[in-house]
Amino acid sequence: MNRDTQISPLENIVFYVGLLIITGLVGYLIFQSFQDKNLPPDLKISIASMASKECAFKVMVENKGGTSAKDVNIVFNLFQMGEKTESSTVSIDYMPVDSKKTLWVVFKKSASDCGSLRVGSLAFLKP
Amino acid sequence: MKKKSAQSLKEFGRGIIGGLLFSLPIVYTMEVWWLGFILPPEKLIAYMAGTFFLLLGYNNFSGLHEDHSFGEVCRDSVEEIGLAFVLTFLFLLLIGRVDFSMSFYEITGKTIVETMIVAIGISVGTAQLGENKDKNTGMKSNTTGRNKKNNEYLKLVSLSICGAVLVCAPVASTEEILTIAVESSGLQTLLMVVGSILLSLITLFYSDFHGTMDFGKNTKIMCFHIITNYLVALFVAFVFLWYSGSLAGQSFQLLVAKTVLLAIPASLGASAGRLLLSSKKKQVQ
Repeated sequence: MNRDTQISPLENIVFYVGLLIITGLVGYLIFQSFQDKNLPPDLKISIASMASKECAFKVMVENKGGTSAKDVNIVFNLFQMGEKTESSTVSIDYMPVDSKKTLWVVFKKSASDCGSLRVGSLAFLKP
Repeated sequence: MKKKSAQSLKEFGRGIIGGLLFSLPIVYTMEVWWLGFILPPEKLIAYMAGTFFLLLGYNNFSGLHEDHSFGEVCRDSVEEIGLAFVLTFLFLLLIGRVDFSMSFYEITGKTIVETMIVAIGISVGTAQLGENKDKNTGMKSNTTGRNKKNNEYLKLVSLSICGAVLVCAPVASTEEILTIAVESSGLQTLLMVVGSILLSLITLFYSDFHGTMDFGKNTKIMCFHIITNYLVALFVAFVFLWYSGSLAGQSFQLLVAKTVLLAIPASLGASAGRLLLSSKKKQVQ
């Protein structure tokens, strides 16, 4: 900011807050740079049936790994009496570290004919 | 006379408007948000350091009154980064790009990536949008002879880099750069180089922009300015591509095509930015 001759109290506050932010960020980033970065993405998927008339499932995807995952592709298979009857694919652009995404997978069936949902395949890139 | 907080508030307000004006395209770019959690901490530190040096350069040459000290320049740069960080965080929160369910690294990363361009915007906005522009011409008045020429050259390079960064930052990390570069032939890449140089030539010497140079018959100096300008553009384009991880695992040909492609907006920013971010009309000797 331009100043004429003296520094106003407001500028002093902004300066010290700015200094605090910069030192805090640099300190945090230096600390982060010493953390283990070789850990791959670790995607945990949990599936829960929805209480509805349709065959619907609520899926929670969580990245518990050390790096982000890119272009995540998850194939879900619907099983009835031990046989695969239908499948569905979900794509997610990015899963950052410690992030959670909630998905809904709905099949055109009634809840009574639904069966169970399992993960068929999981594919992703390391950005 | 002691400066009043109300006056500072006006300056900060001007800075905030400038910061948003120059950086909103990058704040609205998806690929830039992603960089916030993809980039390793070392790159984020390097980005912060690079921006701090750019701010030092801009505040030294264009953002402050003539008799400023190095301490004042540093102080201003710290204020601008601090203000930009708070502004960017609040804006990202407003548009739902950060929230408190995200990891701390994701929140800080996203905010840092956007903050640096906002900080340059704040610096430019404070210096250029105000009514007392005539006193923000930078250069110390007691510099003469060779020092003055060196300072003038440093000023031009510094302003060119700021201009190039402001213009090419929003597009540097987008997928479109890869798509166009992959589909460009060698001839198209060559024409891009020629086009960039022509754009710089028109902007710097024939556009009658505020601050356009009169070179007279001195083509040597004109060539010198054009080459400097294009080298700055290539440098800024290359650094941005490296920073966004777009150079890893690429063939040399694709690397050149991407750099040349990104150097088009960068050269326009370097030449137009250099004229618009400074102010006086120059007579090249």
